[in-house]
Amino acid sequence: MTSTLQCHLCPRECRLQEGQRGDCRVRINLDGELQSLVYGNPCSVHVDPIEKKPLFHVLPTSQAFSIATAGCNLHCKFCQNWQISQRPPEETHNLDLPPDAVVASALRYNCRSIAYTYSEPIVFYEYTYDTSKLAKAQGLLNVLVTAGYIQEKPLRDLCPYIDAANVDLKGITEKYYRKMCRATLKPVQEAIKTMVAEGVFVELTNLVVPTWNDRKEDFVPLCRWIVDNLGPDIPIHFSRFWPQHQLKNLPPTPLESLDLAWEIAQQEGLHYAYVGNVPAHKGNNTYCHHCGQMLIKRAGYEILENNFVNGKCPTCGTHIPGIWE
Amino acid sequence: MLNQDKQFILIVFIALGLMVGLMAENVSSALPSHPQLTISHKSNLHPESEPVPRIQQAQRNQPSAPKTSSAEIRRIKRKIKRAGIVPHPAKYWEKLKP
Repeated sequence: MTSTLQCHLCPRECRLQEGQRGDCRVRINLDGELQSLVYGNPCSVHVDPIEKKPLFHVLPTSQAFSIATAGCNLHCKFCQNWQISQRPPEETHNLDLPPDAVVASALRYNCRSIAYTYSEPIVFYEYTYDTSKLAKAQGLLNVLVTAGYIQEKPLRDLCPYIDAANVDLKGITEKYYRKMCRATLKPVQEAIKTMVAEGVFVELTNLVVPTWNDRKEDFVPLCRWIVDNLGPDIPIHFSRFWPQHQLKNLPPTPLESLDLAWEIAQQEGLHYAYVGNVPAHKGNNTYCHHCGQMLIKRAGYEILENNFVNGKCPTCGTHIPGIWE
Repeated sequence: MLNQDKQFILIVFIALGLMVGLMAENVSSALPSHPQLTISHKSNLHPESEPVPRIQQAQRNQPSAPKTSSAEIRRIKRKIKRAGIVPHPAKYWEKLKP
């Protein structure tokens, strides 16, 4: 007897008949039960500076033990990791690394956190959940690097174990999400709001793609939505696009576009705007929004100066939101 | 020694191979060697420049999707097993009534 089942993990709500797998390529109906094909089998394992996620307000200079499996529930034309995110797990080289081994490895490499990253941690939800629970018990932080395309219930269940997240807010229109990612914007916005409400420290990333989302008309509503819904203290990273995957014909984002985004973010009242993928840009640094003092000077992922005193500006004493200890 | 018929067939195959090779060469040399770097208009996009194979994926929100045959299911299971993958129970799903 065959049975159809429905996955409720992400807004796609895939209906799967026997033998079929979800849009993510890693969740399958086998014998009438939904199974994950990537639990304990990451295809990417690295020790990264946490600035690479990017998370600029979380334990600066610390190392994050970073894992990813095959699969993703979005299909972005600009995907930087499409070799793993747009592949089923049979076509990637996978390690056997159950949750306890991930935690043990993170401790062995003196990492302060585990990052669920590169592809999309939502599609390896069960692996992320079990690992983060163990990691938290061992005093490690858990950070998600995600597109935030997840239903509310599973997200709320995961949040107690997640300390910080960098969420891709790829654009600010449904049209952009539909055309560029074969997804929808609304669930992403809801997921970001849920994370913030659940106490997860959130930073956002907006990849600036030439001709697609690089105009003032794109940046202004994006920044306004953040200020109005999340507040001005949410850090935003405007990241430089590099020709990849299905958009190889576009050039890298011109610096002028990134400068424009950075300036608009500040004009709209965001306290912590950054420019990513452009080493030594002034937008790599953290400034006190109150007095303008440079607090962290960065060159890419490297920290050249750190003037913080207990998470506060040494000049005016303003508290800077983040996880500093 | 090959008889005359076999020799003829062999020559035809070699000639065909050469023709296909030359045609492919012509096609590739006709393509631009570098991707266009113009950003003047979105119609310059090449959205399928990295085609991604689509496997036996879900028919999203389509309850009337064709059923997978038993032979195909057995093949899928064999493929997963061969890849050394051990399926793990997933969360957040429900069985739909027939």
